[in-house]
Amino acid sequence: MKLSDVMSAMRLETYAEIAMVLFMLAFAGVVYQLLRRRNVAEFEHARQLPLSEDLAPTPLSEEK
Amino acid sequence: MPMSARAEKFTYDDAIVRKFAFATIIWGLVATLAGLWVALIMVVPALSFGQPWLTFGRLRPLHTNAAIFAFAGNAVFAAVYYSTQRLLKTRMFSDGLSKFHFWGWQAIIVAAAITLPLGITQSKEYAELEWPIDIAIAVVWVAFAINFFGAIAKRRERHLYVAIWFYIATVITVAILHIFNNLVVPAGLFKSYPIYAGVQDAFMQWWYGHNAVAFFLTTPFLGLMYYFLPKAAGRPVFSYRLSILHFWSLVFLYIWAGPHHLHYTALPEWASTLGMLFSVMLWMPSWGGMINGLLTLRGAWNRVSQDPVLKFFVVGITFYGMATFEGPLLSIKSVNALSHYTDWTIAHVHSGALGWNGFMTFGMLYWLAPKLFQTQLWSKKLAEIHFWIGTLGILFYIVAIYAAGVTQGLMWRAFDETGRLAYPDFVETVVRIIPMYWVRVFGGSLFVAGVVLCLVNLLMTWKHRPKTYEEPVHEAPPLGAYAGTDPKPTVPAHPTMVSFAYQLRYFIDAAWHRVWERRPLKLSVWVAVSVVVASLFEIIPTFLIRSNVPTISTVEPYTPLELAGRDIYVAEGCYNCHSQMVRPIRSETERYGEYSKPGEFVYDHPFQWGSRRIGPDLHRVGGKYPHLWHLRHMDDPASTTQGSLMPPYPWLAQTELDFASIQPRVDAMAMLGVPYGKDVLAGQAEQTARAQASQIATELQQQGGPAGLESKQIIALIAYLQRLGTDIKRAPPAERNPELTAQSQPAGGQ
Ligand code: HEC
Repeated sequence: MKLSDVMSAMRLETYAEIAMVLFMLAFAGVVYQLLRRRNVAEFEHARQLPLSEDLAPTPLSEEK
Repeated sequence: MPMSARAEKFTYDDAIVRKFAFATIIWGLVATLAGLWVALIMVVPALSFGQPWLTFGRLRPLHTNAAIFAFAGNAVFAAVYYSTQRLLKTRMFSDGLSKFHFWGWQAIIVAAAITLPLGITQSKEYAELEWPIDIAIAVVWVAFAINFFGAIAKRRERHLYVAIWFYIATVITVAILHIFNNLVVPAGLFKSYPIYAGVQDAFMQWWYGHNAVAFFLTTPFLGLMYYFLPKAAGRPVFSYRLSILHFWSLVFLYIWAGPHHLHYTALPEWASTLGMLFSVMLWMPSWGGMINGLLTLRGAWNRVSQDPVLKFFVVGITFYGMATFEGPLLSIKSVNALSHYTDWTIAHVHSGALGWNGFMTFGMLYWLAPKLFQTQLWSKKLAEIHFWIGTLGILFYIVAIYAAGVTQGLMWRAFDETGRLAYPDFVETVVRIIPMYWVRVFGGSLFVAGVVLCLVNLLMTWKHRPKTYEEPVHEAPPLGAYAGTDPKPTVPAHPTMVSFAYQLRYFIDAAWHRVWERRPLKLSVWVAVSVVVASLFEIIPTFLIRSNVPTISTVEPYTPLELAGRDIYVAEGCYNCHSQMVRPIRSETERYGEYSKPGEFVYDHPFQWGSRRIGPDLHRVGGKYPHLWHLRHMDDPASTTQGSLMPPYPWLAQTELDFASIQPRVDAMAMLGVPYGKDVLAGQAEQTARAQASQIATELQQQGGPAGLESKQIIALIAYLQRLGTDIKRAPPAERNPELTAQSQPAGGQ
């Protein structure tokens, strides 16, 4: 008996589909979290980062 | 401000960025010149002058590797080293590692430029480099990773900008891809066999190949875009939220899409359907990214007409959108049936490589030049000219090659009214597209001319640099240990269940979000987990399900001589022009014969399915012609087939076959589980090979060929070609005389 016999007996090919569904769910979760998120200030801070190097560096105190 | 008391002073390492920037443009010239050369010898094969190292099969990998790893690679490193330091407000982790990374990478490129023309190759596309170089790549990549993550660890800006996320995904995923696709058993210093065979090897290769496009040519360039586009436009990215969405969707979806390279092959149905589904879903994030990039310029469009940097970026991002629209389209099986193995794929790749990677790189270089050399760009005008001829060059190239691809695809599948192939002679479909190949040469020349202008412009800018570079000193407080700044929730007095819900909300709101957002380690782990898990679910079934590769009782290992011939086939890069995969499509079975079965490839280390048919499929070529035909055809293809574009291989009939190297090859294969039986006994392999060689040489002579070829390379190659695809036509072992099984295949002497 080989590992491949066991795996074949388990019909592992369907597992790829199960994994796909799980991935879709995880992805949907990420999207949901992202859209739901109200912390606009943090995004705004990050968004300005490439431009901020010419300005004064962000002091820690501004990070909330 | 009590904070300022703690501020630290630091400088950025721009010397390393200057190095990478120069390497980028110099290798860019080498890569595009090599491309122009292979485009030219494709139409004029005689230009290889009978020199092995000047033939298409050996130089095409040089072109692709130079474009991806030398040009795009150095561009990525320039972008990473420049932007990472600034986004994290720190110097790189170690100047020593930076230098090691730079020189190590250049040494690898030089090694590639030497070994590939010599025919030292693993024959897996974009993973051709042999095992010693692969080890060097792994070492240099680890040095880069330490340098990069070290910089993240000592950063002074808590928040990781999304560009850094893209870089993290690149560093991690490329390491995983590189290692797993290059697991080989060496059969000498410059020869190895992959541990996978046939279907599984093909699967690993395209899992790698596709994700190399994703994580070497897409994610780091998106990082580049998200940093340099706002810089050049002077305004922040349109939507930060969208950029994060873009990131996660690529990480989640891309890794699944590899099997779309293998539609209608011997790959199991479920796998290629999965590949197709995920590829189509990739539409969404890719277009989100493109729109995000273009909208960043809203209100700044008047500046685009003034600024060559922005022009390059706009066209680059547009090509990103076009190529990522087309990619999923090509992954749809019915489209793929037409497009695969034709020049359509080549056109697709070049709209991505020249348009997206090339133009983003040029834009970045022109933006960086004044900053790095602390003077004005030498000539804005020249940069403008570069932009226009570059754009024209791409258009000529891709329009011609799309036309070539579609033309050839349609000709292959055309039937006449009697139900027979309309173009049974493959070479007819080759000759038809030669004019388009000339247009490609023209378009390619324009693009190369643009690269030359860029090089000149950068050199002249560099000449006007100040005597000593100014090194501005920056100041920022250190980050210190992350102590969590979220206020603890005040949990109201509630029954247990409700307060548990509050706790959960706290966990989700604070820990979950912020960890993702702020903790690079966690981010990296998530990327790695999602890549590894997706890969495993994709790959494991292919390896462990019996029904995926049903064994065929008549399929046997290659004889030692055939194995040596196969290795010549690999070394000469025949796979760059020939597939070995007859798809189960009527036009193909009509043209080539029985379609290919997974079980036929179980001893193919590495697989040779190929990805492009510049010449016909060879999987059923065994027995199709007499030996003598092959001898003449290999010596001068045009002599047997008028209009052939195949390069002549005269040296194969002159060069001695290295019989002594056959034993270690057979031994290495035996180590991989290929049942060689008595051939692996010391000395046996060589003896068996010599016996078969003299038999074929005799048959050749009987057919009217020259004498004295039994020790030449051509004999091994003919042995291999005559064996190809013939196993399934044989009677099952029980009915066969066991004496005959060790013999070579009867040569079709029709
Ligand atoms: C530049 C692309 C190119 C390369 C590289 C190339 N070939 Fe070809 N090959 C062709 C073309 C085009 C044809 C069709 C015209 C002809 O028969 O010559 C062809 C035809 C053939 C045929 C005849 C197939 C048939 O069914 O009629 C064989 C056999 C063959 N090639 C073997 C090889 C081998 C072996 C190598 C490597 C040593 C090789 N080719 C490398 C382009 C190429």
